[in-house]
Amino acid sequence: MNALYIMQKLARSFLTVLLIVTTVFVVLRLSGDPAVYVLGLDADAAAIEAFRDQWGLNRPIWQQYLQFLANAVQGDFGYSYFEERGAMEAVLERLPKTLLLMGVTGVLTLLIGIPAGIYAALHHNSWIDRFTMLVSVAGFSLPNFVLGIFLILLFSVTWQLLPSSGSGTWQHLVMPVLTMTVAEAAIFARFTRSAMLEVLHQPYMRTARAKGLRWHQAVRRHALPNAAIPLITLVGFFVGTLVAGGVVTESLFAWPGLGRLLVSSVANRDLAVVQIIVMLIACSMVFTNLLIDLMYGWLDPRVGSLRTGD
Amino acid sequence: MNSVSRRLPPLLASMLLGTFAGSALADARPDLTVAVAKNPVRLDPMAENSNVNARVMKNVLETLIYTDSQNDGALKPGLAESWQRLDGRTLALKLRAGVQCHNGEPFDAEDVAYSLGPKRFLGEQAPGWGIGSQYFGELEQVEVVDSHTVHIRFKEDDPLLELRFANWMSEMVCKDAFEAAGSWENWLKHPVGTGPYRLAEVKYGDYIKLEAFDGYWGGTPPAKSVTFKEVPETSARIAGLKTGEYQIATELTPDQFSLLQDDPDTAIAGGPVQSIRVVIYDESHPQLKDPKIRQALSYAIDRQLIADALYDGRASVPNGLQMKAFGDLYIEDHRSIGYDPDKARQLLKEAGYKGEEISYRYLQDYYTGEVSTAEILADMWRQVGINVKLELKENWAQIEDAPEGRGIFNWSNNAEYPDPLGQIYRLYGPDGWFQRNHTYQSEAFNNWGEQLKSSDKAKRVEAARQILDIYERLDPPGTYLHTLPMFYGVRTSLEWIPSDTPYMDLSSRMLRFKG
Repeated sequence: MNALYIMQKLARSFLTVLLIVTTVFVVLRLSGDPAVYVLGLDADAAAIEAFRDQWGLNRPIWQQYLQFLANAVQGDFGYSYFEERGAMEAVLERLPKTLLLMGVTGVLTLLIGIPAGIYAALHHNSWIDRFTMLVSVAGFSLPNFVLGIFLILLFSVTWQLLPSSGSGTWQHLVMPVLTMTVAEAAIFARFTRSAMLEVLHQPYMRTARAKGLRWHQAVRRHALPNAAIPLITLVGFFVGTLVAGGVVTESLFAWPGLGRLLVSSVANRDLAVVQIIVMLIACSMVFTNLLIDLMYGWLDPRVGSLRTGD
Repeated sequence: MNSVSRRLPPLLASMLLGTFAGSALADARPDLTVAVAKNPVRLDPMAENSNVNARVMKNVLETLIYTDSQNDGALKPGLAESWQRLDGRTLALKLRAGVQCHNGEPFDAEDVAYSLGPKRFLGEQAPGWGIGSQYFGELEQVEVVDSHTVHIRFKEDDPLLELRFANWMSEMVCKDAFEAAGSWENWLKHPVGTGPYRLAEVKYGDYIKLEAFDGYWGGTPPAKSVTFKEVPETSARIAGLKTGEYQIATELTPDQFSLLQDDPDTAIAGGPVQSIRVVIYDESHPQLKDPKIRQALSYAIDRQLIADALYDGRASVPNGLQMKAFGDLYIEDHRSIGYDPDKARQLLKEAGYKGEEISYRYLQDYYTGEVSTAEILADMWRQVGINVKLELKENWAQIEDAPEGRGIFNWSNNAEYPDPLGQIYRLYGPDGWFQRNHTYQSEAFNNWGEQLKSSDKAKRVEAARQILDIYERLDPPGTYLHTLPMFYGVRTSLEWIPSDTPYMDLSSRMLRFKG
């Protein structure tokens, strides 16, 4: 791994973010008019014109785009027409709630999914393996939305143990996290299991046993690190699915986070807010994947040198 | 004398006890949580003309005249205790004494002048003009006569003078608080008025919390606080209502009623509001130029079937595009066209219609049951031989966009004032969206509509009759379907009477906790 390799990766990441932001900019501006949402359908034509004037919405789209880029470079991410305040402020207010939901879900997913997958692989074809896989298939086949409603009916309406929606206490966190974790952990369990099974049948495992290592030592030293490489790839996608799952889960449980802000801002064409959220998601995806690329290079020294042609 | 002195100690004792009990009672008032699909973002109505704004903010800001929805919309004293017309365009209002703003200042004539004045509304430079001018665009001047008397003058005679100041857009604000906010943007986050509740906390995308204003002139508010909590999913609102986390859940649809009716702790409330669901015909569409084809579209609709199928019998088919609340201007003997598929076929034949395609744009349930309604309508039209193509759109701008392909689309017609001027002529007249966007032009309609502004009642009634007929029969810009209902789920531990507007009155007039 060398500096050139890292530079190339960084440049590609930057281009990816730029591409995403540009696409969102063009699509949103061409498919809806914020003035209509802010002022209402019956609003005076002059008032609508004045609004467009005020926000530069009647200039050619490429001019608006260049202006947007120029402002963004200077750290000005625009104004939320709807909330009448800086768009960044609106986003930052919701960010902690979403980070909390994603963080807890992320940790739980890895803590449940990976050990379950490893355990199932090590007990290949036993009843526990079959049971784990059955639960896992059920878990990821069940849409978030259906599972969420089921949990509400069970824990709130029938047993009255947990609040049905909202945020504020740890009890509010339980059902949204559970809803998201079930599907994600199921995917991880399945993926970990097949990665492990593949590794367990490699010749180096036999070699390790032959040179006198005990089974659990061989697994720890040779199977786990090798199975980790494909798993790390999955973690990269995981960030994306967390965001997507968050949109549905946040709406269902009235969790006031970024997912809901994104939906309402797209509907209202509150462009600056959408831009920031999309940029945040894109950056976090790109950053995670960059990190993963670098980790490959570290876990598997062949990767970094091959790509730079050393 | 003797009897008085003997009675005095118990009287004093009971007064003291009363005061004590009163304050103890005040503390014991319950907190009310209302689960709503959406909250307003801009809290001054002149910055956000929406049902969700009216729902929350009419509890904070008040109008000069109060509309009594329990009494056929009779006008009752609000912030003004009496009013009279000085001439066709001037209204003199005498303000109620002893009204307090939430910031402790007294509410007086200066506040009225300020609310409608250049800092907030009057003139194109004022921040509230863009929205407010649809309601008071003809306002000329507000004259402060003395601390509790104002004369409000319009540029020309206006039959709606009183009604305009009963409409929610005329909610009054408190001058000192407005000035203290420093800017319109700041003000929108924390308006101050005179209503039964004052704004306590706003969390965008989460909740708006109001707390009881015990200095309220119209009786102690029954709830200690009211939280409008955003719960976008209907199923989550219903679940929270069943568990008792929410005491009221808004925006329910009839298919969910049984979930709440079977539960002894919850009930359904609500009914039609002052609005009619309609479809619009764009007469600039090549197939819709001929009024006969538009008439055929109207004749082909079985309105009662839609109301019964989708609203469980809780929506009604109005007699023309008018509301009973119009009083003298309600044309009782208006003959509506009814459902007549044979007539529709005959009109199509006369018009020489050959099955050319007409697009019908609609949204994903912006209106209750919008998708089902669109599918039912398309089928009814197909049965008389009209070739309607359903086009699901993502937002309003896409419905309006590309006017050359726009044929039929959805709308709802609010009666902003209980008068044809507040509904049919406001919407389909020269200042309404449809004429401005060229989906409809009719000189006859406009001529009769102008006569609605006359001060001669007989002339107004005749004009109302004529424009109803033009709308429905002669040259239809669209057609009505049914009244729009608004449904709530309510815990049976409280008694609450919904009004016939999107406004939720949570004052002691309409809300009471049992036990």
